[in-house]
Amino acid sequence: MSALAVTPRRRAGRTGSLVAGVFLGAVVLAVVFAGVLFPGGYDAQDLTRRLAEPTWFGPLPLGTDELGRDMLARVLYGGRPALGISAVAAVLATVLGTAAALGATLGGRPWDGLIGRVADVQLAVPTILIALVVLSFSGSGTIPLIGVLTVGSWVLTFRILRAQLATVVALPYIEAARLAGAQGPTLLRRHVLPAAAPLLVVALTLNFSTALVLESSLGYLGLGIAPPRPDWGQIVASGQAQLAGAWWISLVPGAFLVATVVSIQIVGDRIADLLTLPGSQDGTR
Amino acid sequence: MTLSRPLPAGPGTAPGPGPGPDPDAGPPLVSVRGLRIATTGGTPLVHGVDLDLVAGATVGIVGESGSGKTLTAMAVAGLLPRGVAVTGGRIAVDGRDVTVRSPAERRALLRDTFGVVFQNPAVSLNPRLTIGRQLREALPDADRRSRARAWRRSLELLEHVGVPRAAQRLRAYPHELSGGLNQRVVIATAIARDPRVLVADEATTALDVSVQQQVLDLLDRLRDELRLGVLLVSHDIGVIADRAGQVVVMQDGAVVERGGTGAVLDRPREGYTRRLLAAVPRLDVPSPAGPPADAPVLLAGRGLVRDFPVAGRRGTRLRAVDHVDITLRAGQALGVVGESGSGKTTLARILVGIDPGHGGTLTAFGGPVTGRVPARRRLLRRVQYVFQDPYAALDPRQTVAESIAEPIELAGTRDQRDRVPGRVAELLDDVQLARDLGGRRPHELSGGQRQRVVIARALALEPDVLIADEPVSALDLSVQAGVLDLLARLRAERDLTYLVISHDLAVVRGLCTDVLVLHDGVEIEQGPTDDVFTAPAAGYTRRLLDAVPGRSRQGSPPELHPAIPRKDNP
Repeated sequence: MSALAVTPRRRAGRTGSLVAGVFLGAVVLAVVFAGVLFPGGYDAQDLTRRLAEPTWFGPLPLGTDELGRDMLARVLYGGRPALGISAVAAVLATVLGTAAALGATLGGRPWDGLIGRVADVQLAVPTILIALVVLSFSGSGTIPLIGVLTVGSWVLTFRILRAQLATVVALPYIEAARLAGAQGPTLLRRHVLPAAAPLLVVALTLNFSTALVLESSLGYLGLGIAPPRPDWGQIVASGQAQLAGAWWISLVPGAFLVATVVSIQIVGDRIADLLTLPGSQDGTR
Repeated sequence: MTLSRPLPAGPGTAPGPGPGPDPDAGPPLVSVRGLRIATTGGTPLVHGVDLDLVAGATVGIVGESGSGKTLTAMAVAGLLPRGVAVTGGRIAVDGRDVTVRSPAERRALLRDTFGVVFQNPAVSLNPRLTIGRQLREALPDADRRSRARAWRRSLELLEHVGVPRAAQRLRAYPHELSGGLNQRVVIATAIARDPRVLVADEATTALDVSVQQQVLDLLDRLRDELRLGVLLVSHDIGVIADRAGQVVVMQDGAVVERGGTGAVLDRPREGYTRRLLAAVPRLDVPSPAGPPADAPVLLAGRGLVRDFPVAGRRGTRLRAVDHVDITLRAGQALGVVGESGSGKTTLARILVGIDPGHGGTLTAFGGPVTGRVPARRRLLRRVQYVFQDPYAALDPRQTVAESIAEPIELAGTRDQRDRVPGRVAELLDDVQLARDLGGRRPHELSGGQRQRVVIARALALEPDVLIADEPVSALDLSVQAGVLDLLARLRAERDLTYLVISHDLAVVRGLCTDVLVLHDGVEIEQGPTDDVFTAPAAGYTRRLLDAVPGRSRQGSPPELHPAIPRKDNP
């Protein structure tokens, strides 16, 4: 007569996650195949059509900028560094954070303390500050950007997973697996990591969206991808001066950024829900 | 045991234990007619329960998990959880129907009528507030407003429920008190508003037998002193038999049988009640015979010691196992009994090699067991472990077949690894599970099925010794009996040697050839089960045996005539 309490659980709705998934898929495909859709590149100027308003369903759906460049082409090409760099950084941050969490949980007290303090120091310094310092020395290439974004995101993964792993490792079935002869990597692969899988997905998507926002902020501040290559944050910044007359230059890449971040979160929640067992007793999501 | 009445048992004896309903008491204090409860989704949970409770009497509701006994009690007290609602019937207090009143009126009436004692005091008390604060919150408004008055009243309440050094305890936090004292505090909060009915939902299930006895005595005393009606909900027929005048037996949300406790339990009319009673492990059955004294020693511990650091107090250590000697001979089934905190689980963990311990020597199959945990486990490969809680001991992501196959894949010989699927099927047969359950995951199984999977997994490597930590304590009675039968059969068929840990003396009595009594990590006594149970040498063992609930029904204490089969044992 125990489980009397009915606990409502947050769920990403089926329809909502479907919409988000379709949007995300479309954006990623369009960004990847920008070269096919716009063989003229992101820099095709046509001064006769400067600052054309969006026609939405017409020939220049998202309008043009002050040099008459097609905004749709610029946004799609601009998604390449934004999504690509963020995705790589998110994967690296997740791997780094997971490795750190495993080290802290299984390595015993000294390792737990050491990694935990490093994470504290990391959290104490704002990521944007680290980024400013590092990027102003190294120049804003792809590799330094990925490095900065990874450093800025791994702590979150580490924190979430360390707490989860500490719970999982103390569960009786882990001990039962040890008694059955599992140890080290076998134990991790068979029992520990599957129990952390839903959280890993959440961590990955969270990392992706924080990295994307951070990458765009750096682009906005002029520390991201350098022109002429477009980048979402950088386009937002370039349109800022003309916000009154040509609002679409800033708002269109901004809207893409927000919609992509939200979609990533919704899709991540849905995947985590699907990975979570019904009626699981192990204290995981 | 000041209030427990001596009771005649056996065929032909009439009234049950405890005070029965007093015919002169007027209209029943609480009257329930045709109570129906369902989820808001429409799934019916309780279908038509009738119940009468008079002042000064105890009514017991007994049933297995899912029988609706807790829901019924909570519905009466107006405390149904969210998502569950009363869908029909009448609940009347003093003849006034509660169900038709406005929510505010109903709350006021219920608040002044009912006090509720929940199952686990560790959960129903807030760990961050002092006992005094929590008692004050429970007091009626008039008492609560003035600090001095609240203090005085809280002190009275604690003294009333038998908490010694009450003034000091008011400043203490729940973790500083034992489980029994905490449950007394919960009872004090329950009677703080002078209720007329006390609802006790498995109020003593989480407690040790001796503490359970004291808390039940307290409930009896309060009932008599305050003329309370007590609604006692329990899965433990023994508790109900000792304490309730009237009993309601529930199954699947319906009342199976009702009546005077003595009449129902001694002459059950319904098959379900009979099955339930037959499944209660009994203290008065002879134990299986042990192996000859020259049987080879499989496991032997000498002077085993294990300390634990005490949280929050640096340098202080708690000795969980204190120089225990233990010998396990081939063919033996050794029961280790003791109350919680007696070190029985720690001892088992040392013997199976997942805890290296802090002192003493361990020998297995003639050789010494030393080193760190992985090395110990290699030496103790022929010793396997059955976990206490089958809900937690199986990886929820593995299917049954994967779980059973895992030990073979990881630690089996090449020969065993070559025929895993066949072996899994055999093991499922051995524990009497249908082979097609192999594809299911643990949450799709019942508690008894899960425990069978845990046993099958432990048998997968064909061990010589099986160490079972409370193998049935998480299971319902009728399921318990099946698992105990299985363990007994496997022992006979496979020449297995058992070490069985249990707080339930009756489980040990039926299953074990020998018994070791532990208290605070120290061995109290050890010997053949029949000898220890019929003529305990130590006072502690005797107290433990006396505190077992249900002995009023099982008649005279077993030590008086141990081997005579009882006629009233169905």
